[in-house]
Amino acid sequence: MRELTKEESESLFPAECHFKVICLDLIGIHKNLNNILLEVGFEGVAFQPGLRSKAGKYISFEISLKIETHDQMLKVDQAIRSVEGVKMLL
Amino acid sequence: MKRSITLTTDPIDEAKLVGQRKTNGQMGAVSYFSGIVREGEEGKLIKAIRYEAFKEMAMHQFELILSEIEERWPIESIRLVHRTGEVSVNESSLWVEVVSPHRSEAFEACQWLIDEMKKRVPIWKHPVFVKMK
Repeated sequence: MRELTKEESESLFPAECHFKVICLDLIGIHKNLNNILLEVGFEGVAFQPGLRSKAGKYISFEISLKIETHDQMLKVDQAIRSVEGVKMLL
Repeated sequence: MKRSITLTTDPIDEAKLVGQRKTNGQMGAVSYFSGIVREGEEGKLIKAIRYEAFKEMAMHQFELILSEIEERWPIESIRLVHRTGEVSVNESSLWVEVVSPHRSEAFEACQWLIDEMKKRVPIWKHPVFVKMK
């Protein structure tokens, strides 16, 4: 399957994008994730906690955001990945 | 589509798994994949890879991937076994079986499953390096 061109990627936006974050269950991680949303320009929204691993080491969070452009998508993606404890972003 | 997903710390017994294969008269293809731990990682010698999984989320993501496969290809069944814990060099860390009517969909679905697994399923690997004297 080929990669989308930049023009094709842009044509997909604006779009409602769903982010699922899998991270270490560190103290303050929920707050840190929500703070990063503010930093990239999303106010009044918050990650919803999801599954927690049996041993309590990992937790998932989810959020849906309206993303205007491909560049904004990349910016949000990079910002979330930069939060300490984040292991995967889907 | 029949599906079986197993995360286990036990060694993968490929002969036993193949012996448990179930097909029917309509199925003409069975594709197998076994992922083996290589002796080198990051340019250094290793003795094993330690796999760590967020099991609940891993199973959830596997189920989503298999549901997508079911929509895309006419697959009869998929069995997948992934090791967790320490897996020595030359041992299998992943075993996949895809049964379908024809070979093309078996190959494609198997390849796609493994590619998506690596992107989406929270199983992490940590190399165990050989200590040099």
